[in-house]
This record gives sequence, structure tokens and C-alpha cells, in this order.
Amino acid sequence: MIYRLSFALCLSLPLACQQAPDQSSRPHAAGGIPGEFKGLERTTAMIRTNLLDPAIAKNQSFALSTFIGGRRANSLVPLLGGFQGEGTENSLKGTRPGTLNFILWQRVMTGFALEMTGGCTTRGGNRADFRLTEAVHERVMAACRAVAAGAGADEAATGLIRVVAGYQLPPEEISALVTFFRQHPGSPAEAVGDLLAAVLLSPFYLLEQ
Amino acid sequence: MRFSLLVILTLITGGLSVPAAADDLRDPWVKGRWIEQAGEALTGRVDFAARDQLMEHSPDDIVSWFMEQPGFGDQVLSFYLRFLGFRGFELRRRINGVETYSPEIYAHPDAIAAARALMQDGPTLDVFLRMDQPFFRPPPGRNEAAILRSRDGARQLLDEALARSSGAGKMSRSDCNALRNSAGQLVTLFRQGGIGEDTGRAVAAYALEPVDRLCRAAQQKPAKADMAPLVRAYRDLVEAVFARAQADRRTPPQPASVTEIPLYDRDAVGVDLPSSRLTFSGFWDKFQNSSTNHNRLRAQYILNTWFCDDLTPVDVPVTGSSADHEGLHAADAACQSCHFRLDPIGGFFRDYGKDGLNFAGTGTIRFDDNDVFSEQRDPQQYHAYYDTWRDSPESGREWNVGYVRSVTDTSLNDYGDSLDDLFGIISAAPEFRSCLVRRMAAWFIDEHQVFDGGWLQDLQAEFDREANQSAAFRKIVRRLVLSRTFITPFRSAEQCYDFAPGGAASAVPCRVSHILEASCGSCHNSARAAGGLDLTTWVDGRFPHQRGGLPVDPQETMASMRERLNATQPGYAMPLFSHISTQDKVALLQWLETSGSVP
Repeated sequence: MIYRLSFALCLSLPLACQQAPDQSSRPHAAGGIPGEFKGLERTTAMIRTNLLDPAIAKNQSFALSTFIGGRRANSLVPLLGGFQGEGTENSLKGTRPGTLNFILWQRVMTGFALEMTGGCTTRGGNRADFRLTEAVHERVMAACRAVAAGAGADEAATGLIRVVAGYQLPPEEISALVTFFRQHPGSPAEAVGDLLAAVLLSPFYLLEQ
Repeated sequence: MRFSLLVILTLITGGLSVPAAADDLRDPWVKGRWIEQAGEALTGRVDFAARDQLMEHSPDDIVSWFMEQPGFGDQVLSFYLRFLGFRGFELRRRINGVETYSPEIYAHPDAIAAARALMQDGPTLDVFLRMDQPFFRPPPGRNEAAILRSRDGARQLLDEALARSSGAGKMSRSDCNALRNSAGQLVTLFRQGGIGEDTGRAVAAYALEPVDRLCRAAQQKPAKADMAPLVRAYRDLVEAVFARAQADRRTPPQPASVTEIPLYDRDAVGVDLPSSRLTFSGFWDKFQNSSTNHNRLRAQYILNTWFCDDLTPVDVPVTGSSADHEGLHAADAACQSCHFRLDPIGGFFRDYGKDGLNFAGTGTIRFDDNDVFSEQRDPQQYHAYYDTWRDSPESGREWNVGYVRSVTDTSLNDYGDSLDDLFGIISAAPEFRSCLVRRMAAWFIDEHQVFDGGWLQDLQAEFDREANQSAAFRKIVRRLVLSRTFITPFRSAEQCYDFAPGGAASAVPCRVSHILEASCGSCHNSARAAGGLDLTTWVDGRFPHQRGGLPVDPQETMASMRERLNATQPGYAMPLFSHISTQDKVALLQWLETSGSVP
């Protein structure tokens, strides 16, 4: 399901899949180029700022890259993009969206989304290296309960999207995601995981805008 | 659901954006989105927790709050760096386990100093334009062994220099050359130690300046001088910098904001190490000159950066000194369309050769391609180089060096001689203020967004009215983030949303409507369409244009506009007998070449 959703997202969000223009344009304040991936550091920072509990010191060691597939996949981490190299060699690398890095990001974000749900039974984000904020955790659980009860899915999905992506998704995308969540045939954990993955795979988290 | 109204609205309008006014911030959805985006524009991050706390406050208060955050200083620094053309940078990075400013930003002390001045309510633009800048202390390299190795190499180098220079005696040329050469070796050692090439160059330049003065004097007349005290001071300074690097490595400075970036000053190394705004790694190394291209790369950078002039060709008559150089590329009529403004700027750099060293008065100049023009060895070649910028006798000026707006009316131009003059010219040039405001809009809103020229002019006027430059900068930023353009969700990049007071949206494409109104509208308007052409109206993708009562093909209208705009003969060139800035002319020509030619 997640793969189908990602493919659909890829189609519906042309920015996520298209090649960026050759000419770099305005770099973001943190160094990125519009239309390109923010890179591992910046996306991690966004997650750390808005989804993880700042009072928990272990969140400082949170590494999004671990969701790429364990230590054996370490060599793939640079493909998620970011600044690499020292001194004058330091430059933005691997941020131009392509098939491979998009698949890697899809893997990372779906892994993280699943972890956030905690299977809708235990508190999500209870790994050794991070813990969700109370607000995010509550919204995740509310969405789980809505699917299980078969009622209140729209409100739960809207609340979850808001707490994860603020006001940054276009209304038509929010509307589509709410419908998708309402009609999701899977278990609560699958539905919430898919919704979270979709939001985390939005340009807001992934791309310089 | 709060956003459902917008969803419905979007469906009704077929997905088209509906321009929002500032009043729309009363809508919680628009306001929430605006706070997140304003937070990112003003502090570099989207923070949902901050948004929730700010939702009940007024937009003005929210902007003020964001501007009080240390992140605002970083955004201003990022803006200044971007203004200088520094692309693809990472402002902060973890070094030795500590998050700090990236070493690369120290190549632009002018940007750091200007951002600090702004955060301290100082004259941010004056500071930005100053030739002399403070020397900020970048984080040292992470490898202590490399620092120590470099320090030992420097010790050996300077001990040898000290041994050679000890004792009073007649100074030989080789003594002088050995010391000068030590500067180059020292720079290499600093680089290898991870302390930074610019630091090495600044230390060597500072410490060797009195030595160099002695050596120049000795070349004129062999002198008796004891250079040992100077070399000892040189060595002491180098030791202090290495000691500082070791100390900083053990206890890295962690500037939380741009105002906390430390200096190489008396507290750090015993002297106030000076810096020029044009550093080796920030300017001279990037914009190298050559014996054939002279300083045109440097001139191109100056025009592009400080005047928003991308050197799109604009036809001009070949006049003055350019016409005297028959056969040269720069004297060709087509080439003059760029060179008339490129070469006079290059003249400011005529004495600056390899690595940005000033060769004035030495009778030689060595270029970055290592070619050397020598007055002694080949006077013709040497003088021909300088004659490139020598002005015609009737001009009353020795040099045709300056910012040239017109080749026919030189009273419009600003002439000068030195790099100090260049930055003085920039400081007074309206084109610089206009460029600054345009870049601020691009940075704080979106580079790909079109803005109405009248609105930008109004912003510039407000900037100029305010005596306090920091307050002026903040005012403009405030207006930008509170603009209709910024607030409108999912706006169109090709639509203008803000206009000068009294101005309104015109049907003419907004990329050029203000220029056409200001430069052509007095003759080509709907009441008096000179030549049958009305450039203030846009109907069905064309300007109303008639000849002999019959409509003119829009492609022909555009071609004619291009031709008259690019013409050089007085009485035929448009606008008739009046001046249009190069920037406006270029904007019109570019538009005519692309979207303007589409009927």
C-alpha cells in the first residue's frame, strides 16, 4: 500500500519527481536550491524541531538515516543529499531528485512513519534515539482510534496532518489525503502509517521551496 | 475543518489562487500558514510550537518577535552573502562536535560585519560597503597534529629568516626576497594546519608591511637597517595565531548568533588583524585576471553583484577611447554593447594582479595566468595595457574608469580611480539601492516571483527616507513579509500582487508594465498613441497598434519595439531624447525576446 501511495504521490506532486533545472537558482538560507532535496541534515532538523520532544536529550542523537536499512546500508546515506566535504571542498551533493534517491527517501520516511505509529498499540517513537512530542503522539493515537472505531476519520486525519506539516500542504492535497485516509482498507496502524508517510514525503519536508 | 472553505473556494475557482489581502490574516488558516512562512523567511526555520504561541498576536508584533530572534541575524547574513553571489552555502555546520558557522562564510567579512551592524542597530549599508573590514576568526581545523606540524614548520621558517636578518648591516636584495617568499610558504602552512589561507595572508601582509617598506627603500638606496625586531614581531604574531588555533580547538568558540562571532584582535592574538573586503578566497581567487582578458571577470562580477546588471548587450554608438582601438574586440560595435560598461569598471582593478596584489608604482604587473608585463622589459606592452583605460584628452580625465550609464552623455556617469572610489560610487548609485531592494524581495519572498517595478521603487524610496540604515532594512523586510505577495497562499510567480500607493494592477504584463509606463507612457498612451501605439494597454496578448487605420501584426510591433529600443541614432532611438537605465532597457529587451513576442 505504501508503495502504491508513494507512486501516486510522485504523480500528483510533479515537483517531487521532476529534474531540477541545471542552473542553480536561489539557495535557501541553509544552502539548498529550490526544487532539490533539502538533504538529510535539514530534513532531520525539521523533524527534530517539530515532531520530537525537545525535553528528551536522546532526541539529539536521532538519526533519520537509520531508517534506510541498518548499518549495512550506510554507504547509501550520502545519496540522501546534503553538504559534504571540508573547507573549499564543502558543497551540496546528491540533492537533485532522481529515481534512486527518491526511492531511498521513500524508504526512510515510510520507516520513520511506521515507527511513529508504534503499531497503534504502544507509544510510537519509543526507540532508544527519539521520542515524539506529546501533541504528535496524541494525534497519532487519535487517528488510530478513529480507524478502529470507523468514525471521525476526517477530523483525526486533519489534526494529524496539521500537527505534522502545519499549514504547509495545499488544501487540495489535504483534502485528497483525508479522503485517502477515510477510505483506507488496512488496519489502523497501516492507515496511519500510510498517511504519515505521505505527509513526510511531501515537498514541505523533502524539497527546498 | 477550518480549511474546508478554502478547499471549496479552490474547487470553485478551478484551482486558481485568489489574491489575499493583509486583512486575510484574520483567517486562522491563512495566518497559520503565514506565520510558518514568515518564521522561515525571518529566522530560517519553521517552528510549529512558536506558531501556536504567536497565533493570537498581531502580524506586526509577530514580525517584530521574529526579528528579535538570533535566527534573524543569520537570515540577514545569508542575504548579504547571497547578495555577494555566494551560492550553495551551509551557514552553520557541526565542527569538532560543535555547531558553528561554516568556515567558508569568513571569506566575506563584509557580509558578517554588515549583519552584525544590523543586529546592533548600526549603519549596516555603510559597513557593508567599507573597504577595510574586521578580521573574523574562523573555527580552526579539527586535526591538532596538523596544527602542530604547521606551527613547527612556521617556526623553522621564521627562525631561519631571523638568523638571516639579525644584526645591523647592509640589506641585500636576497634578504628581502627571502622574507617575501616566506609569506608564500607561511600561507601554505596555515592552509595545511587548517587555520585558513586568508588568515595566513592577513598575518603575512600585516607583519611584512614594515619589512616590505624597508626593502623598497633599500632597493632605491642600500640601507643599514636591523630587520630582526620586525621579523621577531612577525614570528610572535604567527606563534600567537597558532596558539589561538590550539586553544580554539580545545575550547571551540560557539557563537550563538552573528554578533558573537569572535575577532582576531588584541585579546586573541595581541594585535588587531585587519582585513580587506576583497579577501583572497572570497574575491581574488574566484575572479582571476589574465594578460588577455585583463580584469573583465572582476568587472562582470561588480556589475552583476552591485548594479544588478547581467550584461545583456545593449547597443551603443562606438565613441571615445574605444573607437581609438581599431581592430580590438572591445572596439567592435557589437562588442561595445557590453564593453562600454564592463571595461570602465575593470579599470578600477588595473593595478591589481596575481592574487589581488597591488602592483601600482612597481613598473610591472603579474597576472593570475603568470604572464608579466614589465615597463623595463617591454614598455610598449606595459603602456598599451594601461592605455586601455586612458581617456581621450578632451574628456579632461586621465582615466576612463567608472560606472558608465551613457556613452553619449557622460554627465550621467560616475568616474573614479581607486577601489575606494568604486565603493563610494556604489554607495551613492541609485542603481545599487534599487538592486538591493530587488534582491531583498527575491530573498525574503521568492527569487522567481515577479514584482511590480513601481512597488519596488516605493520600497526603495522608503529605504532612502529612513536615516537609520538598520531601521530602514527592517522596515523593508517588514513590508515584504506583510505584503500581499507574501501572504497570498500558492500565488502565481508571474502575477504582481503589490503596487505603489495609488498604483493598481494593469493589464500590461507586470514584469514590464511599470517600465513602459514610466519610460514610454507619456507618448504611447491610450489618449495619445504616438505612432498608433499604446503601450499602457494590453488586450488579447498585444498592445493596441495601428498604422494607417489598420492593425499592426503583434510580432511586428514587438520587433519594432526591439529595434527602436536598441537603436543608437538620436531621434530614432527610444525613448526619444531621454535616458532609460541599462537595467530597465535590459528588462524590456529580455521580455520582448521571450514572453513579449508571444501573441
